[in-house]
Amino acid sequence: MSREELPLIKELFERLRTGRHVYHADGECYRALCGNEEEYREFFASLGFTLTRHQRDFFYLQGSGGGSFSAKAAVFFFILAEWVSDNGESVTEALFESPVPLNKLPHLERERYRKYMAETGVDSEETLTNLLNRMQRLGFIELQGAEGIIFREPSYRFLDLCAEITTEEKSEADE
Amino acid sequence: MRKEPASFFRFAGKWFALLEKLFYTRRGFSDGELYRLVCQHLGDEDPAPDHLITQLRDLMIIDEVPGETARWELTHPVRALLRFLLREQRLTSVEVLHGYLRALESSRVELLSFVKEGDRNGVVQTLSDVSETVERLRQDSSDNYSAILAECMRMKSGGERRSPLEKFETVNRLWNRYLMPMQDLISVDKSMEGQLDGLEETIAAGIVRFARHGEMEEVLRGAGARILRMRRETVADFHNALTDILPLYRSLKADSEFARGASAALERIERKGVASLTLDERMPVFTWKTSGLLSDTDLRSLICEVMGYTPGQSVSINIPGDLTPPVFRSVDDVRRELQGSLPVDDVLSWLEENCSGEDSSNVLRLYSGVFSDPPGKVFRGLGKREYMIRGVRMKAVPLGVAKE
Repeated sequence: MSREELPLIKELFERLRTGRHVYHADGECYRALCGNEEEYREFFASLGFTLTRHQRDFFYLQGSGGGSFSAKAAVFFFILAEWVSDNGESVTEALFESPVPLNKLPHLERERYRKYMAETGVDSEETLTNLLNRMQRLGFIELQGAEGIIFREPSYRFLDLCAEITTEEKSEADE
Repeated sequence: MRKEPASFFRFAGKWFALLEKLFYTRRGFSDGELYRLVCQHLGDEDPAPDHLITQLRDLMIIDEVPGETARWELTHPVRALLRFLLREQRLTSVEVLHGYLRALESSRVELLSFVKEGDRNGVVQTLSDVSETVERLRQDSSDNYSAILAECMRMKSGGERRSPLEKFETVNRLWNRYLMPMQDLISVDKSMEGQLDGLEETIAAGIVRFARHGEMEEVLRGAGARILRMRRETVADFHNALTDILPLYRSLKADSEFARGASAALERIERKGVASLTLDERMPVFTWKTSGLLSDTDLRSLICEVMGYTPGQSVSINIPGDLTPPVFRSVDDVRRELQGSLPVDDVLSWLEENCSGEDSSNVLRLYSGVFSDPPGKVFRGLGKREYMIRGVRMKAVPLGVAKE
């Protein structure tokens, strides 16, 4: 199949090149990618990019570091995961299965959390909103109006990060 | 003192709601509490509370808590019966199950000896012990499965408000304390399998030995069937428990790791700052970087400008006819020559003398080229010295090359 024949190549290229994660909610685009995964992988490789399929079945282009978005978004996620767990709820169920109301987000409420967020440059309602909008654009969350935010499959990258840090802690403790 | 079973069951049938209440009062009950509980269950036609309390004691349903006065609890057999009836199974540790296996092993040795001696009475009595132990093992294994299932259901229903970590610790305890040792117990190459095989062989030997005694064969075959059923059900209980608990174990394990990881990350931020986690490197997000590209508008405007452009008069360049391209000495040639002259204490002076046709910039080019891949061992001279090369004065520490 030639590049021109790849289905929805323009749409997919536009989405992925902006850092967006493509998952099942992307409907036709997602199906086009799933159905022609190898061809797309080769196409992006020819441009010098690495198309990655996560074990949770979403796609993204491998980044090369730099920028501060990941730190902001990850710290935002860590705080929410700790807060949910402290409330006796399952992290995956509370964040991925039901919306978290925006007015309940603890990030700018507790002093400790405010300090962590400020370290990433998120220190006001405005900067927090900007972060949430960017997370939505990249496919990590979905803003559901008054209901709040719900995390989508691509946010499993944050969970991977949590698991990675747990493993590191265990290894350090073993040493 | 032996109690009339029918009286017990008549009483239990009539006052089951009271017994159930007493069963769930796990820490025992004082005189006053017992009196209040009994009163709550009495109707107008019923006997006085004191009479009922006396019956509870006479039928050995309740007994005094040892070491305490005026405090009561259900007796062990009644509690066990109610536990069975109310499906409130208790977990039996593998140590207890191992105890049954030890008992079975000692019964096997005894049975073998009775079979050899042809002692029918001894065989019947030993088989009765074997059946009792086998049934207990079967019941405890089944109770273990039921207790694990009940715990899983409680967790899944979300009725209890416990953190993922606490839930995981509970499931982890079930997993490590009851399931994994059970797996060891029932594995084909482990103790239970071998011991039960031995017991079955002894029973088979008994069937041959007492072939002429129909009633003995029946007793022996009955015991064999019990062992077979227990083996089958124990394995099934284990696999059922595993099927119920495994997804929960995995999901809680993952969830507790996520929560643990998030807290550990925040704790690291508290101690060492966000940068210490190198989050942008660990989880990079793709960004499209463009540079030097023209937008469509810029390009259109440039083309419009070019459209009206008229080239001016052509510029002629006069090239002298006798121009010959300069010839540079190859660094490799010079390196070879230098190699033939080693050792050389000062390479720059050597180049000045041996490359007389080269101007100062070419001498320096060759000097740099030689040291990019020196033909021997390089050494430094002492202090700077001054050079005058083709009219250019320069200062440098002399560098020499010796043979390797």
